[in-house]
Amino acid sequence: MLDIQNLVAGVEGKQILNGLSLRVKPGEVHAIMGPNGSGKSTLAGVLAGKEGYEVSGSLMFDGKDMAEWSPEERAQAGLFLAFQYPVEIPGVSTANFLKEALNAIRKARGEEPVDSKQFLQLMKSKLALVEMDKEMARRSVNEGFSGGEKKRNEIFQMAMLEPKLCVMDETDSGLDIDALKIVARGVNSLRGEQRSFVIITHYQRLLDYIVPDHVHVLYDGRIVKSGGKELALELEEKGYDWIRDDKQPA
Amino acid sequence: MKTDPIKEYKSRFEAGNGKPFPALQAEAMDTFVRLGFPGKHNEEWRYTPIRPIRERVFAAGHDTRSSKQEVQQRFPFLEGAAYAVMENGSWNREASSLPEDAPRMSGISEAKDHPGVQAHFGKYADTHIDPFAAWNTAFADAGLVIEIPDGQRIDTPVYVVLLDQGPGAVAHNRLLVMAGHNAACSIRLITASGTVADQSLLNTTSEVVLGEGAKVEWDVLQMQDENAFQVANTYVFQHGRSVFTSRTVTTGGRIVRNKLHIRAAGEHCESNMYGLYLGSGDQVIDNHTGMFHASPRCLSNQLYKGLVGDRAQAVFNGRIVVERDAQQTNAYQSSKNLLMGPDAAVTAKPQLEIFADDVRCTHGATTGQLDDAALFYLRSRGLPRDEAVSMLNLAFAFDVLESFNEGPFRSFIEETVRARLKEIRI
Amino acid sequence: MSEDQKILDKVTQSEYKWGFESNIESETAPKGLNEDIIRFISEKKNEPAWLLEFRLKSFKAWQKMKSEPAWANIRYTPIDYQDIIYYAAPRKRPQLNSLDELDPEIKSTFDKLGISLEEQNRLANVAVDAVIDSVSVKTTFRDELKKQGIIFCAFSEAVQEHPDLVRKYLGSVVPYTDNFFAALNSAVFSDGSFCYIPKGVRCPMELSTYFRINAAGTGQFERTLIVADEASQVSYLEGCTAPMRDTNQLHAAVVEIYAHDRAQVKYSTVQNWYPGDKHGKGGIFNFVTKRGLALRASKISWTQVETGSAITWKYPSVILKGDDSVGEFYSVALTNNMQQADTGTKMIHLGRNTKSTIISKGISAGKSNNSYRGLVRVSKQAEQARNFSQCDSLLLGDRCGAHTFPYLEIHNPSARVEHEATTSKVGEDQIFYCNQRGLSTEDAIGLIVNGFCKEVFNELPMEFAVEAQKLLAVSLEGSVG
Repeated sequence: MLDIQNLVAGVEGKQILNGLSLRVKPGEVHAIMGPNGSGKSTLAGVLAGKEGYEVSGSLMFDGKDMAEWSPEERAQAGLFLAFQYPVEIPGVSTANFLKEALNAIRKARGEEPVDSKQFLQLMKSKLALVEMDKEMARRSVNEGFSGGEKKRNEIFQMAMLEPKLCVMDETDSGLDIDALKIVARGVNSLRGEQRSFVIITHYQRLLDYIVPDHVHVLYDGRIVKSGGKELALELEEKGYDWIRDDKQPA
Repeated sequence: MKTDPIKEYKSRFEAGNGKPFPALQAEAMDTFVRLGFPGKHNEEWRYTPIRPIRERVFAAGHDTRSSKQEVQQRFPFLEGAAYAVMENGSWNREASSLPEDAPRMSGISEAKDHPGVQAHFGKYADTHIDPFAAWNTAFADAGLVIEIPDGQRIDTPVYVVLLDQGPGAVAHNRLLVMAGHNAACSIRLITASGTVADQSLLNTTSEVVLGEGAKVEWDVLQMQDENAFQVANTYVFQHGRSVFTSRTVTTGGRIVRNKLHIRAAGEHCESNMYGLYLGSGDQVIDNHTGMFHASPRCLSNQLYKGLVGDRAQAVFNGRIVVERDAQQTNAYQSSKNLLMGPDAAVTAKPQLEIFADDVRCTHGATTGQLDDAALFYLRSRGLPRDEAVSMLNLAFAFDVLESFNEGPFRSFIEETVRARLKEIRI
Repeated sequence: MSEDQKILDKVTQSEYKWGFESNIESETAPKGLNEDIIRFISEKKNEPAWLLEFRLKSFKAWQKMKSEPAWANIRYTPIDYQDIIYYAAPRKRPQLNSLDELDPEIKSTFDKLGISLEEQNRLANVAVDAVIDSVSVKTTFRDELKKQGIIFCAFSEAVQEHPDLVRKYLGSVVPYTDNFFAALNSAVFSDGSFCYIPKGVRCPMELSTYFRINAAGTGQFERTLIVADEASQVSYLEGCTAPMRDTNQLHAAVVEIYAHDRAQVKYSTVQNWYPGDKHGKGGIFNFVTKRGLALRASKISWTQVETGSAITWKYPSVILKGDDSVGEFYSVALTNNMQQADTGTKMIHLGRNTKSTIISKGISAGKSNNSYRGLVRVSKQAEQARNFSQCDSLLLGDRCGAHTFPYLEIHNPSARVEHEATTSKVGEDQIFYCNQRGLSTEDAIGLIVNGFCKEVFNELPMEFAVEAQKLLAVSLEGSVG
């Protein structure tokens, strides 16, 4: 699904990712954990094709080189980024926004656009997933939403657009425990054999609810340790200093 | 036959000699004659009736001089402070007090050959279009120059007391403030009517230049008598990283017109403008601000508040111009008025002129009354209506007042405002 | 040039799609303006003496005014008023109620514009008055409206058939002395629409006028008069287009609305006159006076979407004369390339408990300049007046200008007046967010701009809202290949 080899990325001459490699197979859930400044958000931005980064290395998505793809081409190919800070777009209702997005993606795949009736039906079923009511879909995208509502809206959009690969950038930040559970339930229901997840997080607690297949520790712009879900618990217990100490030459 | 005031001023100009800047001043006089006094059809003066200024011939001046004691008695916060008294347009040195650590002050005539004065005098005032600036420039023989050299940061404020003096007299005050690189100072102007003043006019033009990284505070308290007039034009030129903060409180004067133009010419400038005006009786109080953003990454912030009662008229005209190169400008402006008399009027004219796209500019203007619910709340706690009203009025004025630095000057302003608020009938 | 700028250039440079010219044989007056021309126009229209007199008085007033108002934030080469044709009419004048006699070229012109003049093809709820150059060529659904006592017809016909009504209300809201362009219009106006809604009647369909300039070298000076009698209601739509020409053409219209007690009038405009090419050559000079008089408890609501014209000078206003009357102004003004717009409103509060709302959205692209200019005046006797104004500007690119000039004159202490204005650009983060959801940058900008205008589009009748959105999309999208 996703194959990153030796990814180097920087911004304004400052290198942030220093040769990161990661392989994600279909259906797998990978958690990437790391302290502040380790390059987590840069990784999310680079995967989604955000401008302003100087990038080198190999970025393969679904067997194709996506390094030169624009953000919308990546989205149309099935890559979804759940933003750490979802953006407000005044005056554009979430429903309208998603309909435009869904049809743009369908068009790229050579599919017919959905009509309003189909869309509303689809929306209704997906709203239930994240316990959002219809009213929220009528409101402007993220405008005036609480932190929790914004994150739920991201998962709702993920459900609507049915991506192949979901990159979640600190989705748990700013969520209380109830909202966290709702978000996790939504994500879990979207797990499937053909859909992969890359969950980027600082804390382990989200992983109590979305259990990963693999856990990687991102430090100083590269993955310094990989393991199973138990690695997350170990990290939680020992803190990132443990990695730091670990990295120090004996 | 009635004398044409402008002709009279012209002949007065021609009779004078020893002009420090003969060419500049003669040109200014010509401009003044050509422009004349503005009328209603001049967009800049549309809401400001100045007939009482336009139609009389103001006397040339009066030789009454206040003593140091008189001045300090009236303005107790001056005791021990550095201050200059400008009386009837010229420097009253005997009444002034300039300790050693005060910034260097000199009369314009004696400083005219100073390279700084040569470089800056008359360079910022819009003498070619503003008749009052032109009039002032023509008669700016006895102005004051304040200079703060590079790197000097003066902690104690310096006061300039501007007194009008004599019946029907006009005083042309001229100030030039030059703050060098990374210099800092705080200048406080008090305009008030002198002992024998009566229907007199203060026509003040100030130019303030801030070098790179300079910091200037410009506090103004305007408290002339209720039949006095004042036109104050202030032009500020900011080089990069400089910070200019003005605070203007107007409580007195029959007609007060303030024009404050700031040009942020270098990057990362900060400009703050606060204003509070209290109008009652037949007062006309007009604040015209112009914030000109010419360079990227500057910040400007304006807050003007007014309480207007009786038959008073208040005008706020706030113009923000963001030029093409001034990307990443942040410019904010807010104008709030409480309108309290059935015959009072407020005109607000905020203007944004934006030529750069990556900017955040907002302005807001409101006119309304005291909040009835708040008034009721206070009264239900036992406060008499009048007290409740002044408490709320003071609360309305508070965010401008609190922008002043703490100390005896601020206390004096607060007292003046408090006393004035009691006079505004509702 | 930055990458962003390239994208903006791409999405903001598209062609004007209504720029075709129809080959309609027309009859025109000689160029220039003098009393003889005015007499010629009046005679052509077989007008009564009082109307000719009104025109001549207006002409005299106009001559005295000498020059155009200079206060607006617009620049243009002076207009030569002697180089304009003041009257042009399709030669084959149809009998106004018979479509069969309509010049097929005219019919196809309107078909091309998407305005069908065949009633059976129209959506059942819109009546259309079609005006080409100086004359009305067809008004649909007249008979059906007549059953309810509603008069909806060409202005020139109203002069013949309802002279008392026209005489009573003409100039009652916009006097011929009002301003330079209103005086000019009053002297030479050719045609337009007239509409009268009787007491208590709620007009069962949208009334609309579609204006089309076709002939070259002509000016268009239409006159619209809407009278809503007590407790009546009407919604009125107006659309306009013109061929692409490399010379400027003058359009100076007057619209008057008279709302009697408890009447409600909603007036919507989608203005899409030819804006000129991207170098600023050609295009319509649009100098329009629109004003409504609101009597007791009545409501006048202006909604406008202004995307066309080289120059727009227009301030649809409401005089809130009656107690409890309401005035509204919702505006989207988009300028691109070299276009200039100076537009806004005046809300004059005279009566007690009067309320006004102003929502203005300005979008500037290319090298254009877009100004909001608005006056809120609360007069001394207007107790408890309320106004809320919001003026937002959106800049696309760094070579355009967005300006806001509100005037708030408050003479009554019980007034509450609030004005807010903001300026912003389309955020890079917003575009990236849309991109990430699969939308192209062009679509993203279209979506964000439409969102920016939503409060105004919500005020438009459904059909017009769709048209307006498309129009904005076309004005901004298009040429990305």
